[in-house]
Amino acid sequence: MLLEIDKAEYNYRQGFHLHPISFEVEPGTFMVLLGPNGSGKSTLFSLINGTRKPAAGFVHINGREISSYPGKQRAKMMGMVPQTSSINFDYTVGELVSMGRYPYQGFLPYESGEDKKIIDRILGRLDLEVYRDRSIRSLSGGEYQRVLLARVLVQQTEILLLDEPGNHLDLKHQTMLLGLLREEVRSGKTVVAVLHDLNQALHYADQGVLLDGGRCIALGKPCEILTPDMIKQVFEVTLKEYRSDDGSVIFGLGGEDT
Amino acid sequence: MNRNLPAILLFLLLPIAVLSSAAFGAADISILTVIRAILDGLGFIDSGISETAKLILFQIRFPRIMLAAVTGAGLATAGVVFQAVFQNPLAEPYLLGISSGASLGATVAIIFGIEAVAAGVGAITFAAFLGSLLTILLVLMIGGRTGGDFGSLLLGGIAIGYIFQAAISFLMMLNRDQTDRIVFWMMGSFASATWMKVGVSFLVVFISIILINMNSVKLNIISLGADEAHSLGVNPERTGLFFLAVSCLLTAAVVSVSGIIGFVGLIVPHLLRLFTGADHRKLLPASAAGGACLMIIADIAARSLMVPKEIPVGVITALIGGPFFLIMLRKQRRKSL
Repeated sequence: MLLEIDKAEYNYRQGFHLHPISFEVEPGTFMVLLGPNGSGKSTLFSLINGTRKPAAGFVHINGREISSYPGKQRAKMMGMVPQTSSINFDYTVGELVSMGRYPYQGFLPYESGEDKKIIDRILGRLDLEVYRDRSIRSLSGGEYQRVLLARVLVQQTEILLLDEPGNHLDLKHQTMLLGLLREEVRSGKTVVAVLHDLNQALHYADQGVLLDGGRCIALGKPCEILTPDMIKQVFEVTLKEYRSDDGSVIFGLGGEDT
Repeated sequence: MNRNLPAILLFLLLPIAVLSSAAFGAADISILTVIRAILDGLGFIDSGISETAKLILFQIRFPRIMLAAVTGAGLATAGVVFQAVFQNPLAEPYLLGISSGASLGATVAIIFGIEAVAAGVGAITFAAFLGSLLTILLVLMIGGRTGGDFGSLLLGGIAIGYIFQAAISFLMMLNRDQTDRIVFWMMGSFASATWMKVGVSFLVVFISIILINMNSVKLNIISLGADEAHSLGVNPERTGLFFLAVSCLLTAAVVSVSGIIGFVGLIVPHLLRLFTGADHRKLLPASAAGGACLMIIADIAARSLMVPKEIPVGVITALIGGPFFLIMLRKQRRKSL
């Protein structure tokens, strides 16, 4: 399933402008959106997930404008893990995860046998079976993030969108989450994620968009666009480049100003 | 515990509440007599119960009980819907000013005698519906302008509620001959129940509740917030508006016949969530049944606490519901700290 962003732009009343941006995300690609705070990542993310409509330009799935799809049909192609989610009601983990099957449900508001099988499988895969009857409000940040991930996997979409997915997770769970996304990509799915950690972007992503001040200033493989000069220019920090034995790059503290 | 159980139990409790309430009152009629009178009325037996007793039961007590049940079911369901759409368990038709809006609409209809032009109760209900719909739009406009958080929505609703009640008082002052009828709206009571009122409100409430229950999964999904609802394939604006319109209609149908009865939409869903959980597929039917039971019981209290005087049932729900709301508010604040 091909995701195309074609000269999409957006204006806020307060003056921030996301300048026209174009790129394609092929199936089986992990695309990362990078940039400092206020660079336009979140705006771009909302254009891709369709909660905002571009002021000009297009976002296409399979050659068709995203807003032209009926809601349920779009939700079968593209799912999202939000950055923050504050739900005021005591749903159980099982209830929240099964909402991911909504796009597949017909007139009757209940899960089919097949829905249940899919839910069971995903809960098992993410080690969430024991949490099934727990209230979502009793979960830690990391557990909650896993539940949201389970919901999007239950949605069985070709395209997965994640807004800073590792935000509330410790290192172990971040690694687990990104490893899982990598598996999804290997099976042909498309992942678009906003990430803050440049090393994670280098390690897990295939393609990256680097934004600064509402403009796309670099597009390509993370190892090509994330050069020390570029990082200094965009993020205004100097990082030191370490090279591991297999040639891959890791950025760390130890530059001039750290 | 099976989370469908509360709904089932409450639906079983409902006929018991109806019969008990029918046996309450100045004329001494036992539950057994009530049952025999019903069977007699249906033509199964010849009970030999006096015509006076039958008249009291069928023309006074039953319409009143039915009106209480319809009102309770409607307000509790509307409460659940407002809570899900505004993503806050403190939302309620009375607190958001919807009931006052409906009541202003009904007042205007009475004063301008619109009821004489159209089909009796129907016209007042329609005016109440317009009033409640305008209120919710007004509340949304004000709440939305100031950032859309629930606090400003609630404050907006309360302020609008006050303005409307002042407008009602003003209209009352200008139309002293209608004062009695209007005062009744502001207090909330089932004392003037007739089968006509029961029929109209039942029809609207029943259809609205069915519509809402058919879409209960969507209510689950929009309770997660706009962005998540969108990504799960539900249009949050359009769906939210649908639910608000249906529950305004529900509130209006109830308010136009029973007056302003507050807090039912708050207490019932909140207590029931403890047993059904948050899933609206289970919460909605339980709330309809629970609201009906609670209202019937509150009406028994209204009739029997200060015999021979009658306390307006709206006063009773406010006396219980007000403190309940404050406790919940405190709990919610503590949670967010």
